[in-house]
Amino acid sequence: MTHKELISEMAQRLGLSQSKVSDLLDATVCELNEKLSENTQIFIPHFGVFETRKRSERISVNPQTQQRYLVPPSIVATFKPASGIKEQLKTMEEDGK
Amino acid sequence: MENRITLANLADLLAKRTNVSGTESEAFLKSLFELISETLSGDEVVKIKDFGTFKLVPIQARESVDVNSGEKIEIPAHNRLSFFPATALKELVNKPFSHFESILLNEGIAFEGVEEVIEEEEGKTELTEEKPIVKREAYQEVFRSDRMASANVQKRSKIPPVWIPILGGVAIALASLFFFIQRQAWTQPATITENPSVKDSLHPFKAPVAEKTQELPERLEKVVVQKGKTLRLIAEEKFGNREFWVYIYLKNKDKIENPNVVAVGTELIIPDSSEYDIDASDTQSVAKAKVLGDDFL
Repeated sequence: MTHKELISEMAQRLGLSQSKVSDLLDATVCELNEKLSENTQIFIPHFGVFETRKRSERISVNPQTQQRYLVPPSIVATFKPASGIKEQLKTMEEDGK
Repeated sequence: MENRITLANLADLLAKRTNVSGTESEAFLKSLFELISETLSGDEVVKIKDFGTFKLVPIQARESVDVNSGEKIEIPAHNRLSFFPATALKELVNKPFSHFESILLNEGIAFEGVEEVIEEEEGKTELTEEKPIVKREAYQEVFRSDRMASANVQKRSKIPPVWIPILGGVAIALASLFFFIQRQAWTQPATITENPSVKDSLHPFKAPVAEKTQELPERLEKVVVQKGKTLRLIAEEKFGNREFWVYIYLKNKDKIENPNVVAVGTELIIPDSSEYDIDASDTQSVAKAKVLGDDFL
């Protein structure tokens, strides 16, 4: 599902215009990104937690050339799904078998 | 700054930003995340512009060990919900570290505490003395910022204080460099001045510059004080720093009444620089001499 499809689906569900939903979604994304860049955890019940983590530096080796690079540390945004949704998706897979 | 916000806080922020009511924004968010999880249940990816992609990643069945009983168990194949941040979000979040770039490492360079990604490379990770200093500095830079950033990043991973042995290594390298230079300069003029005691007593201040700063280990050098000379001036000529005058004074204490006024014609014995650890390039040695000298004045 792309960004556009998401907007149209949301508009239908909430009975709002697509442009309104689009604005709201953009604002939400802005807000989320801002909070994440401040290292804030965002807890969404029944969905999961968005948070940032630091990846420490490491040496990576190119197996073809054997060149070694010191990869600098970085901060990444991560998402941890809530246990409820995790189970739901797992069972969904099992049902599908 | 709170470190954790929930859906309700997010709804408030959203309401403020877009001028909608709190209830409306909350309803929007709830339905947004509901829709995302529903779509995911249908094994579809959800892509949100500038934020990221939610995706179900199939995990293959694998064997594992039960943590409690120690028995072998099989973890069945399942799907894992993964989130891949969009480039915009990645860059925004990584702003504090964005100035770092990957550095190509030369053969034989390794850092303690830094994980090597390919196993076979492990054997080559011994710390060597000949490491180029530039690389080390770059690495220290990484660490400094690392520590700086740890104030911001609440969950930082454990890092051993590798910079301590690295600083030690730099110190050792510098020390051995000084020693090397010292030795080189030492052996050279020894062959030139074959009979230093005689020569120096005849022309005490006409000796070449390189000779003056040298210590002569076998026989002690003698200097006859001439008019206008002070202990400090002699020390500067002989040892390269006037603070070392105190050692000349100590060596000739019986001949000098007042270290500030030395009689013309006094024959002074110049001490061997190794006797008092005289080293003009070593600030500690200079400082020590200064403290000692101040005691006598």
